[in-house]
Amino acid sequence: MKKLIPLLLLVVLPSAVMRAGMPRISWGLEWGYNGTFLKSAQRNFICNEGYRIVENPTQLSFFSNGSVLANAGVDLTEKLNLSLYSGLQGVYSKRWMVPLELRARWCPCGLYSDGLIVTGGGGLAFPTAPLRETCFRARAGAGYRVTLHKCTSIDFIFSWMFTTDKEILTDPDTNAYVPPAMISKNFAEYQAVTLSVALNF
Amino acid sequence: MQRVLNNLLFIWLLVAFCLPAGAQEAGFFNSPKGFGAQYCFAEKDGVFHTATALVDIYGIPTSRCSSPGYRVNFSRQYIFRQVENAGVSYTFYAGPGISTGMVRDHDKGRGFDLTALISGNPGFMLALSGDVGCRFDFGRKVALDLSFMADAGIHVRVNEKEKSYTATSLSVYNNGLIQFLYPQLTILYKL
Repeated sequence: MKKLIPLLLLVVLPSAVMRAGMPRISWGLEWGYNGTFLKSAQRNFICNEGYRIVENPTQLSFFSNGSVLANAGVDLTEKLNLSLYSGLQGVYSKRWMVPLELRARWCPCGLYSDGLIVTGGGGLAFPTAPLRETCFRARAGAGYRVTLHKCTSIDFIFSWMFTTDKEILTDPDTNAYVPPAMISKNFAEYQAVTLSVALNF
Repeated sequence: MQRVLNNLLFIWLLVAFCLPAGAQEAGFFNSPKGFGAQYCFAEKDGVFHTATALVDIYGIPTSRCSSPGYRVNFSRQYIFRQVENAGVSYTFYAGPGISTGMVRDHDKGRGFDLTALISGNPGFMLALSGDVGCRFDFGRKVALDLSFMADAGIHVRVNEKEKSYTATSLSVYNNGLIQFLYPQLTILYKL
């Protein structure tokens, strides 16, 4: 199933672009503020003393971060744009990731008119520090688009973001890292709100 | 004492935000330096003035400190070239100014150092600034302004090594020079 999704994308996207006629290549830059407000984790591992630790903590605390993302994509229709985003994004305290995200932007008034913009997408995220295991992320949001000139516009977007992660587990007795062989489950997720500005060309 | 000064400065910034007497354009200031508001006053004989108030985010994106700094700048801008092409007006300008605020400077780590925490020593900054930029006017209510600014000045703070004696340190405001290369993009709205 995992292999089918990229294959389907490879088949469906070009055909959608062809149907839409002359596709326009778009690119842009997005930057903004991320406020991570919720962290949930699931830990299940055997510690040095031989007993098992099972924890499912949910931590409601606020961490401020930033993000800078560049994007390139195509206008599939007059109201719909599909772009690939990448850059640098802070997701938690001292936790940065390089996302690779496919995002759709839908403007009911048209891509080159002032008005509402609805955006949503998902993809992978690669942490910049250990553990460097590939994570998943998704986002959905809405905002307002101001057209400056022909194909140049600015978006002001408020969105919700979800990111998965893996934690570096430490033994409560020895404070040493828990070896992977002793870990049954290690999963964390962050939820954040983002306020971003995007410049599109 | 520092907290009181910080709060006073914050209130001052709020007043600066709310009373842009004579401002012709108001904008949202974006930069790796920080975020804030900018006001542009009416142009006369190729000269206009800008007032900027921003929240200095030095150290925050890298989780090295949790509270921001605050700073303001007032500049006199001289227009030296105006070009119009394909319906877009490009106005190039440069000028001197003055910056002040309560910000962080001087710490051991630079860039994306995620381990060294900045000690809690925001200090008073006073600097002469110089900037160069270009305004993109699309003939609509919204315009863009891209500029680069350097601040040459001093940073006065509590000495990290002599905190118990509340001794002060005076040094060159390093960030003001290093951050010259940080682009400043302002989204301006014509009032």
